Order: sequence, then C-alpha cells, then structure tokens
Amino acid sequence: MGGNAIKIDYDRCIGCEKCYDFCPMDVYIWDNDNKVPSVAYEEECYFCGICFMECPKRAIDITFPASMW
Amino acid sequence: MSQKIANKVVETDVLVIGGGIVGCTAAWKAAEHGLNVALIEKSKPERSGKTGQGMDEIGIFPGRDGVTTLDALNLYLGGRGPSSLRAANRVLDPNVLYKIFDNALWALDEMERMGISMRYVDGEFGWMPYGSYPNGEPGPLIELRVHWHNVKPEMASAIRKNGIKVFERTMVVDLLTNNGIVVGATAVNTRTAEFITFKAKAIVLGTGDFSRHYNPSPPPCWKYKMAYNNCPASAAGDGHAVAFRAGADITRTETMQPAIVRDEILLQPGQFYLNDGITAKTFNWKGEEISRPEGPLEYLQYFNKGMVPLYQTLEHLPDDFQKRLEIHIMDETPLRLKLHGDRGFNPGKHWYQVAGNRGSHVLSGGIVIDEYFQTTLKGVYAGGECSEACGIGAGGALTAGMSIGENIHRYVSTAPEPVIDKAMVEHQKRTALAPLSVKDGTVPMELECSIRSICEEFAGPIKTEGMLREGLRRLSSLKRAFLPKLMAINPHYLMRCMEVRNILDLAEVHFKTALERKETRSGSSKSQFIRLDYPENDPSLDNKHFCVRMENGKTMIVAKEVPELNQEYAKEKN
Amino acid sequence: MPESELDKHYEENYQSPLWNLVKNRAEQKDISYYAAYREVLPEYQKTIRYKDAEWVMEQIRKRNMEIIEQRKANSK
Repeated sequence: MGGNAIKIDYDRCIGCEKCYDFCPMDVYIWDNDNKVPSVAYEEECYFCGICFMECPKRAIDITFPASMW
Repeated sequence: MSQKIANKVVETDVLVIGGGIVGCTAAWKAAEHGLNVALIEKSKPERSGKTGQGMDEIGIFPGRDGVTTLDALNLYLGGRGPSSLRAANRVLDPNVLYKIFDNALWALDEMERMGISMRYVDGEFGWMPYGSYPNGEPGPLIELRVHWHNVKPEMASAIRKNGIKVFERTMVVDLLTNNGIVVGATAVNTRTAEFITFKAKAIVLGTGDFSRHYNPSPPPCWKYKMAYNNCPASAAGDGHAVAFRAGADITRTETMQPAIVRDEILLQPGQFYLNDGITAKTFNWKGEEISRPEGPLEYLQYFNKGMVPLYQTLEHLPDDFQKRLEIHIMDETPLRLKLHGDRGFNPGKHWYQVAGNRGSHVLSGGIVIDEYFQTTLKGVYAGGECSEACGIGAGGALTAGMSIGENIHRYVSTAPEPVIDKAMVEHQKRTALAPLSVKDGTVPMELECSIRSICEEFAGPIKTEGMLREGLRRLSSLKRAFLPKLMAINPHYLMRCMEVRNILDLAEVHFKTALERKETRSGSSKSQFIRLDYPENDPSLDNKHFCVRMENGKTMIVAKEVPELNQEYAKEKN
Repeated sequence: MPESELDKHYEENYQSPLWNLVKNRAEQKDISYYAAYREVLPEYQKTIRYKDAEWVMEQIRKRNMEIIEQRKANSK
C-alpha cells in the first residue's frame, strides 16, 4: 500500500506468524509462498506496537508517518 | 459470491461476543459452572481489545483502606470518578455501580485464580491513591497499579484451558431473536468470509466503546491515517449497534467525554494525568501557568482570549516519578517510549500540547443494564465499555465479566430451547455479505471519513439545533446513497464495511438523542452535554435518561426515570 | 517562559532510559521487546522508591497544595 510506517526486515524475519496472528487491526497478510508477513492495510495501523513488541527477532520497525505529525 | 459460502451452524449454551476483559472473564467463569461457551473475537484474544498491548492500572476496589461500597459510590457520583461518570451523575443506575464496586474485591481474587499476574515482584499488591481530597490529602488506596503488558496472553491461555470454543477473526453481524428473546447471533469470519450462525441460549456482549464517529485529528484524507484514542477495532460500537438493532435499549448516546487530548505523539489519553496521583502543570502558550481546562467550554474561554495552544509539562516531577511514568507508558502503550525517542520528545522535560475541543469525543453511553448486567432484551447480558457502566475501565470490566459468568447459568438453566428463524438468518446473511458483490462502489474508509467529518462539523462538543438537524440530514442522505454501494474486495474490507454500517447507525442515534436533550447538563463542574441554544440545566430532565432502541426499523427514543439506589444498599453504611 | 524557549520542544538523540534498557536487553539476548521488558521491569523498579508510600504521599500532597494556592491566586 506504499506506506512507510511499518517496515519489516525480511533478513531477520523467521516466519513465526506472530505479527499476522496478533495484529488487532488485521494489517498484515500472510505470503504463503515465501512464508513471511506482508503489510497489506498499513493505513489502518493505529500504532499499538503489538507486532513490534512481540516479534522474537525484532524484525519490525514502526515510525510515525508525516500524516500523524 | 454469497451463495457460494455454505452456512455453518454452531450450538452453544452461551455465546460471548468480544474477547477483551469482559468477554474472557465471563467466558472463563461461565465455563467453570459447567456451561458450554463459545467466544467470537474480531482479532485474537491473545492481544485484542483495549488492554491488548497492556494496561497500567485498574480500579477501584472498595472494601479496603476504610472505603465502603457506598463510599465508593459517592466518590464516583460526587465528582471524583472518571469524567464520563461524573457527567452521568443522575443518569446512571446507581445499583449497577453498587454491584460493580461491591463485587470488585471478589473479582480480583477470581482474576488471580484465573492466572492473571496482579502483584509486584515482592508478591504484594501495588495499591495507589485514588485521586485527592479537596484539602490536598491524597485519596484512599483503592486503585491498583498493575504491570499488565501481558494480561491478554494470560487471559487467552486461561479460556483456552477452560475449553471455551474460540472463534478468532470473527465479527458479529446481528443478534437473532424469536418472540422477544435472544436465540443466537450471526457472524462472519474476517479472513475467509465464512458466514456462521450461532444458536445460543444466552449472549454476553463484551465489545468496546464507541468512538469512531468523530473526526480523526489529522486532516480527513481517507487515503492517509486516522488518529485513534483506543484500539479502533474495539471502538466501532459493534455491541451497541447489534443490541440497538435487536431491540435492546441503549442510553446516554447524546453525551460524550470531554475532549481534552494532547499532542499526537502521545495519542492515548489517560496516561499523563494520573502520574501516580500527581497533577501535571498546565500553561498557556506564553508560559503562564493556568488551571487545566475541564471541558470544551473552559477551553473555549482560553481560545477566545488568544491563549491557546495550551501545554502541559512534567518537568516539576521528582526523578523518581519520571521513572514511574516510563513504566506506566511501557505497561499500557509500549510503543510510545520508542516513538518519543524517534521524535526527540522527552516527556520529563518537554512541553506537550493539550488540544481542547476536538479529537477525543468518546460516546459515554452504552447498552442499558440492570444490576445483574441484563440488558432489556431477554437473554442478553452486557458489561464493560459497551454497557452503560462504561468509563470505569478495566476494573469495572473484570468485575462485570466475572459477575456475568458467575450468574448466567441461572438464566441458561431456565431458558427455552432456542428456535432460529431461518428467514432472519438469510436476511442478515444477505445484508452482511452484500458488499462482496458490489463493483465500482465506495470503500468503507471513505464512508467512515465522511461520517466522522459530519459528526465533527455538525455535532461536536458544542451543539445547536440547526446544526444537529443539518448534520442528521446529511447522515441520512449519506446512508441512503452510499450504504448500498459499500464495496469489499476481500473479507478484510467486508469487516470494515460491517463496522461502517454500525458506525453510521450509531452516529444517527447520537444526533437524534442530542436533538432531544434540550438543555446543557454538567456532572459536578464538568460540562458534558453542551447545547449553546439551551445553556441551562432543565430540572425536568433530572434523573431521566434517554433510552433508544429500534422497533420495526424505526428509532424509538423514550425518556426513562433512573432508578433510585436500592434501600438495602443505601442502608449499608449504618 | 519566554517564547524562544518554546522552540526547544524536541532534542536530537533523546532516548528514554527505560526504553534503552529494554532495547539493549532484547538485542543482547536476542529476544522480543516484550520478553526483554519482563526482565528489565523488576530491575528498574528497584531503582525507584516504589514501596515508600510515605514519600509518595508527601510528593502528591506537596503538588496538591501548590494547586490549591494557585487556584486561590487565580480567583483574586
């Protein structure tokens, strides 16, 4: 969706599905071919930080976009 | 597409809608009484709801530090409770509050039995003062400091161990009734669009508050972000809306919590005022210290004098409190400290803006309940943020949930075998799945943005008759023109479409009841319902609340008397 | 406070001390931030007068008295 508030470091991601599993807004979808999450609905993220905090490899970074300033 | 999806039917004694604090505790406790319980949750109970990412304090718990249940009731209704209930002064059933407070310590014990971490590392409870007395003395130690960054995983584990059937990513469509009693509900899986019919003897509504009818703080450009105060998934008013459409009463839909929010960087309210009991300093933009405005009208006075923006600072707090505050933030909104760092915002040193009259208009009403948490629709129970006893927070929610779970088997054992009306199921299915077949329609977020803009512009914290009428006209025409055009290209967006339908129904109710209340009503000193055209209190509306429900597709508004406190409870003190 | 000082709203390279601890612990042990916070929290609490109720009450009392005085001054 072209946003940059949520960044996944795919080199670190181990495909545990926690972000996809826990996101209360269902922002992630699962890429079954590559066994990794993908950010599909970034505009719905409300910065609760659950994926960021839960990720066992700290592969997700969340920053405020310009529209939230 | 809707024809391709087969009907799935699930039979259960109790269907719990919402997997937050109320839902999990009610389900856990009901299962302990041997009931068959199913729970549906729009995301996953492990991290869903208002406490999904964590919670820092809960309360209040009378029965300790010399505070009786009746004392607590007076503290709340007399002006020291959360602002939404102060406003509710005289419009909230005192017996409901009494029951919540009276069972609070029992519910706390039950929480420990459930396996929820409640204590400090030293094994003790962390009691903290609840507000302060007018003479400056700190209040009684009846508020509980908790480090609940892990509360939801603990709760989810408890309900799964207790054999509750958990339906994740499943959103309620509507309740099913037959001859005036509830017989189940329909729901849709938000990742597969599977339509599920639940046949149940009783239903517990444990959904969240309703705050997605007001404008996001940033400009309402639907392609961009919206700002939220709480988890938007649990703030769409799903429970309010399904109860309302099924014929249950909802109340106080015209009132709202005062709209004082701070800098977007902090996003969530509730964090910086408490500060373990210490009040922050407030300044106007010139740096002159002022009293914190308590509502939109007070803020407007500063605005008119050119004194805004207003700021707060915590720089006067001792270092120890700065550290406490960090822990508060980590416990409740853990991403926040990292975001502060990104922006270079030091909460112990820098000023942060408090916005005055927009942004945080949370509906402070909910589904009408009696002291047994029964709604006016037989077989339906409600607690926490979606009920009229909202505003007590997680403490009120856990007591409500535990109490419902403790008592619901009495109703279930006498309830008749539910008989589902197939035509009703089909109608709900068609309504729910319709957006999947719409091509070139309107995406739900665009419609939501319009609703929020209309609410902000024509209702807002300060209301007048003409503006309310125009706003209602716009909402109604918006509904007529765009609800049938709502489009969902996948099940995820279908969920958003169903939410928007709920938001639109409740936004209309908000306008309609606001038009009915031709007065300005304050709880203690706080203005909660402001009509510029009726600036005075109308004594004939004292002790009255507006109950709204849907009857044959029409909205019915009835002013009802608020019950007095039961004589037995009132005697307690002596 | 003079206007110019209001510009000092943000600073470069600010990191919350607690967040720093959590981040470092998570990186050290290669665990999630939640897991790291669970470890760090009790250690951080030990650096605070968490259980000194008297002291806490005194701080609250002090600030409350300031507010009362300020209200009196405002109403004059």
